[in-house]
Amino acid sequence: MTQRGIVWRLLLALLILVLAPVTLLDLVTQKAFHEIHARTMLHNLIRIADKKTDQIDAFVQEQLKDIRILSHNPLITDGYKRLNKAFMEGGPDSEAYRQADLQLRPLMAQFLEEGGFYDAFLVSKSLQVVFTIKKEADFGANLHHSSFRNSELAKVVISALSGLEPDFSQYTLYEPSQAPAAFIAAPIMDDDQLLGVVALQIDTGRFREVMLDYTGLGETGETVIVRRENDQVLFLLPLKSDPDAAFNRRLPLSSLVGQPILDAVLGRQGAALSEDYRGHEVLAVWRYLPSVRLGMVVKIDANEALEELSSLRDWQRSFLLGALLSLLLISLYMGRIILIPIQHLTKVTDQLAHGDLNQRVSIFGADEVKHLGDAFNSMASKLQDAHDTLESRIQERTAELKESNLLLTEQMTIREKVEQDLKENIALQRAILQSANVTIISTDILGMILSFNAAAEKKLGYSANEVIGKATLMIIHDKEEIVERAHALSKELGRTIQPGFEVFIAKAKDGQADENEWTFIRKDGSRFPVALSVTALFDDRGTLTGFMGIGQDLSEIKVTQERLRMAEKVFVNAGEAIIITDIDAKIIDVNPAYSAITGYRREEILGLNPKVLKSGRHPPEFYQNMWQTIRETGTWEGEIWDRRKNGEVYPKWLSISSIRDKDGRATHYVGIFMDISRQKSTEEQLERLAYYDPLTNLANRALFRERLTHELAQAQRNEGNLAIFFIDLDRFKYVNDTMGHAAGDELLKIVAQKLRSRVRASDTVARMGGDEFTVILTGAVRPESISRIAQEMLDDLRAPMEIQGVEVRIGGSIGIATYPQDGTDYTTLTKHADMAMYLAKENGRNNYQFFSQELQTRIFDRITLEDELHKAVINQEFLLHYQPQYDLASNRVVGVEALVRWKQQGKGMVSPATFIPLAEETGLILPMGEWILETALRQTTLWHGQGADHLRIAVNLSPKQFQQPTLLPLIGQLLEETKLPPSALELEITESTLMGNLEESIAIMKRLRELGIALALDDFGTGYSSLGYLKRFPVNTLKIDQSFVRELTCDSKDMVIVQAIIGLAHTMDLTVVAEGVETPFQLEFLREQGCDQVQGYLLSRPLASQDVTKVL
Amino acid sequence: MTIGVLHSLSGTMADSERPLVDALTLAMEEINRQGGVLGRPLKMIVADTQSNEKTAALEAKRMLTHHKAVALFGCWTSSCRKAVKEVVEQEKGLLFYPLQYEGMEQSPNIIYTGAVANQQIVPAVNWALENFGKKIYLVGSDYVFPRSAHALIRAMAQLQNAAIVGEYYLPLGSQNVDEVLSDINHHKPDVVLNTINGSSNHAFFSQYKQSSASHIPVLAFSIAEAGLVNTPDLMTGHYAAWGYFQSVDREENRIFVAAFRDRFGSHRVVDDPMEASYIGLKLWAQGVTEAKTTTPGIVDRAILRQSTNAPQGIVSLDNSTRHLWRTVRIGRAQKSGQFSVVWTSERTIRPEPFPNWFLSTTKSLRSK
Repeated sequence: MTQRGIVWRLLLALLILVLAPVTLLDLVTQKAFHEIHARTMLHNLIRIADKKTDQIDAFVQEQLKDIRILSHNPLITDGYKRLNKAFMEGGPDSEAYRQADLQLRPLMAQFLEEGGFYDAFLVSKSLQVVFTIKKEADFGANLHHSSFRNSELAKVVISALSGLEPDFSQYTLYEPSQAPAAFIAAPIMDDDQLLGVVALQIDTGRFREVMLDYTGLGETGETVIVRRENDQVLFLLPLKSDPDAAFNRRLPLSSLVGQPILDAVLGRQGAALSEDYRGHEVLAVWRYLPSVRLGMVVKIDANEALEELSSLRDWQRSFLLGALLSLLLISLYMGRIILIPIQHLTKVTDQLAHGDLNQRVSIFGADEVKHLGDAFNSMASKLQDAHDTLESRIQERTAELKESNLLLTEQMTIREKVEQDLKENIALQRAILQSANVTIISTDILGMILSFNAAAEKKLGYSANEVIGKATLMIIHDKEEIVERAHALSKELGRTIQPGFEVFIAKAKDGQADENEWTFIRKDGSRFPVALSVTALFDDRGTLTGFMGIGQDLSEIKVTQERLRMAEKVFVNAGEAIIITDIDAKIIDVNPAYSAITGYRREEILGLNPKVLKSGRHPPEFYQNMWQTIRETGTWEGEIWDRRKNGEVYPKWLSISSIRDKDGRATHYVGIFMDISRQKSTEEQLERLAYYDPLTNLANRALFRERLTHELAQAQRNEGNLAIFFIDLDRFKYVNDTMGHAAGDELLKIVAQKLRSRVRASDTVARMGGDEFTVILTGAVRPESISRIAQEMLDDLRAPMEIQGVEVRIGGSIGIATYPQDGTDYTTLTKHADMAMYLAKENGRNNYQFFSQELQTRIFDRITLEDELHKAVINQEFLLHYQPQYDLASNRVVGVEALVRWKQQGKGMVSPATFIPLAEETGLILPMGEWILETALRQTTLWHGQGADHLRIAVNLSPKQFQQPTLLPLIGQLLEETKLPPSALELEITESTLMGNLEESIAIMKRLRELGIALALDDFGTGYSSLGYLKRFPVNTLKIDQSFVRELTCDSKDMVIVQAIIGLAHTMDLTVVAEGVETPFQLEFLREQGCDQVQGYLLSRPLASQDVTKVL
Repeated sequence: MTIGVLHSLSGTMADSERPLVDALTLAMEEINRQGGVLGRPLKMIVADTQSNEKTAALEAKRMLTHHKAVALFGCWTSSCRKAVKEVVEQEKGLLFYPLQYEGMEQSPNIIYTGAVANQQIVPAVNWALENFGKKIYLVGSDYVFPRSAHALIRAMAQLQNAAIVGEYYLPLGSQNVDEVLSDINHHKPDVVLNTINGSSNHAFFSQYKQSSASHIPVLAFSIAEAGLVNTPDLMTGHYAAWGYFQSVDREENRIFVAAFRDRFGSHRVVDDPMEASYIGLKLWAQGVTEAKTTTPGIVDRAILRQSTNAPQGIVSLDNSTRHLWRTVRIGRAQKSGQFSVVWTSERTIRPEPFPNWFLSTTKSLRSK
């Protein structure tokens, strides 16, 4: 005892000496690890927060872009004007308002649906809400009114009116919708008038979805979005710990001092290990989000975030423990050397303890030890005496013990027997489990699988061995489903159910029956529905030991249910009427289409015989034959006339089938029919179509030809005269393109009426197709009356027309030819009227022209020019001039623009303004363009060879050329042949070329850029392309149109426009070239504004190729 | 760690720009008291740009190449900014520009902390049209900002059916205002919109008071508290539009004003451009702290994510335009030279340096 004691005490001292520093080391390294790890985790969180911020910002910007586009839509501006006028004059119940509303509603509804918005508003400058889609309490209200004044809708509308830019509101509860909402608003402007505001209510779910995304945040991580409201902070999203927090939970600012939430709503950002609103330790990153004006905290519980760290800690601790143990062993050995005498003492003590009480020690040496030895010996003698008395008592005790041992052995035997029974019982249970057709899975209380029956193996594709010991949650369940169910269950039970195993057992644990539909996931990832009932398992002492889940596969039931549902759906939604009768033809069911066609409601027709529909048009034999056929073949099909409830008789196409039971006996009849009255009337109309234009009811081309031929013969016989008009509408295409075909059709109808009203009934007005009309004036017509009629028609066409509630202005051009002066046969007369119309168009539209010989000459000239242009292309009468482009920074020529010139043999120069449009129109632009490209590239190669190897050549591409599929191969081939670096070629394309088919244009441009070719947007500022489009064009250069540069004088608006274009282009990293620089003032201004390059007569006119080298 | 300050300490702009150096000094000292940036104290080198943009460009280059300045703060006029812009773009530096200006610009090497049109001129003009009437008179100094501002106001007038009854440009620094005052008196507008810069404002307002037009309200866009410090009564009863006024009733502002006066004297005032300078340096320091580096590309990304609870309210840098989300305010001048706020946007406004409505209305005007 003594020796051990000393050893222990020595060890204790040692432990204190060693353990203290080791523990300290452990603590210090743990802290360091902790910090490094926390920093890494924080770094990840920052990335997530950044991503989140960008997502929200992108979402907001996307919405702003949407509303900006909407606010510029002419249908909105026009629609707003009508609605506002009708609203102010007659209120929302007036007929005018209803009309206007009806026209705008579909467009807005479509926009809402496509853009994912909840509601749309049009608000006047005086804050009157004149239109909404949903017609909630806000419709018709004035936002100045006290109940709306403080709404976010009012604020965002006022902001749009005040700043003239779109604005995005706060996300907050909106009373009229009884839901949280965010709004965007943009001013509506018509040319140069501010009209009002269009606002959109963003779908709550969509906005929440954007913010409520926990990707990468683990089990406890979440995004908290908050707003400051006076002295409180309001939570705008559900929290993992409190699903009802959104718009309910408020915390006073004073309770949040030092917490991320407070910092975030006060416009600060940071990242740290800190405490959250629950008092938990969390890793958090916080920011203020300007685009939604909210604070955001992205956080994760420190426990979870630092989980990895604890395993590291365990590893480190075991290592230190090992080291400590070795140290102890060494110390022990060292100690023994010192302790040999004590060891001797120990040995004797041992013998003593074993009963050899005669042993004594013989120790010599140090005084203290010797003293110890003597004392020991005397103690041993005393012990011997005491031992002897003890001996007898021990013997008595031993006898008692033997007896109790015997009893114990008996009990053991009984127990073994019980265990054997139990084993057999378990085997039986297992057999039942294995043979059952339902999946039976038992787990421990944490959800780890303990058993997995054969049916489970079969259905789920896992073997029992694979899954035993694993969590059901991880392998056969759908995590999202668990999250959903957790949410639902939390609500149901009124306490928070974590999305984990708890979801399955929450009820079972309380002893409640829990059967639910769940999705199981097979090993191969496929899914199937099950009815899963979960039972809690208890041992005999009533302790919960685990759970058993019994799952019934619902796939087949589901399929059947689905099929029934589909059939039901077809029945309800079919466009054809469906009627089901029993064998006695008593109606037992009809679908909604039946009611729609016949006019009978389901309740009133059930139980009746379909006979009630009879029209009386068919004789009794008809029905007898019908039933005969059904009985024989099981079906009948044919056209039949019936009567609607309102008495109207109509034709329908009916098919009847009988339904038979498994013995082949008919049990029911099903009739399917559709109303074919419309098809019937179409047939009748077809006849008219041959001679009349169906839209306008005017004569068509065929009838016009027939009539004119007839009238000509008549006039010839009577020596009379006649006149024909060819009328072409101006701006019709514009109406068609901008307002849609329906509007175009309506316009044509109005025009037809107007034309018709100006002539006698015996005259003919025809529509030749498209927007071309003709008129035949018969009888003795004098030139003055012809002119008068033509002028009246023009005036009619010019007058504003109201199409779909919008005021539209078009115009017309009329060409007139007369018999017998301008021709005596159909062909000549119509050709000449057509020519005259062409002239009218050339003369600037809205006028009429008589055919004349002079006109014929002019048209002949044009045809000649066309002809000569053809020849010029073949004879290569073109040549290129090159206008230098100067870099303003270096004052050097960096490029030249190739400009085509036509030197006509024997006639001199022809202006490009004359022949380029003609070439474009006739398609000659294609061979010409090819020649230009090739010549320009070869010339540039020569210049490069002469040392000007940085010179860039700019070539204009015409719209036709740009759309040619052969463009890319052609350029590729030319570049290869000339060995010119692609970057030396810049293609100039105008905005209007691109706007035709935007997506395709962008694709072509991208391919050109891939070849390494530079692209310039020509004539920038003259087209309609908005700034939004510009961002999408992959161009390198913007060419400011000459018209802006020409107007640059010291006090013009164009100064600001040019400044804006340059600023904008530089923002997008584009080079800016100004064309048409003619005065020193213009040059200086452009230089000041940072314009990159210029060209114009001030610097150099276009030069012949040989002169270009002089300026390089 | 050195930052460069580019402001005119001599020449015509000196009076306007000198207080901005003080605001930057205050921000720097506050940052240093809290341990500097990335553990190092900030040092500030101030260059006198002598009211000359060429000097500004040269100094900017010297700051970046010779002193290795990690960021530049400065400029007042647009011409100065444009000159320095070329330098910072070439040298990959970073400039913080604190003034309200005409917009139409967005350099990858500049952070703009002043207001653009939709954060000052547009809402303020709309406010004036609503409160005073639709007959407008425009008076400004003859250089880029007033001319651009007037072009914008002209387009707005068209939108709102308002009439520009007269327009007048004074040469920069001119004290001769007789002609413009009699012109205003002749046209009798409902409101005078003033974009006069610098010392001409003294002549304008002091003689305006005596003129028979004195009852017509003036709304000014380029004069603030610092311009009234010597003549507090100069524009009493008239208006100015800014994002910040010294009188803004916020705890953060009281601390700011107290700190500034504590450092530079109790007679001193602060105004919008000064606050914008102060905010700029604070945001830069925040960005560098978060990025843990001053390397241009990286720090730029971090800076563009910063917000701060500034004296005027929460302000945030806008990632896509590099300008500041700001509040808009209109103040009425008091006898004390302070403004009492009569209107505020109540929320921060997204900066739109390229006003969409203006460009699109302009286009439609042309196409007619």
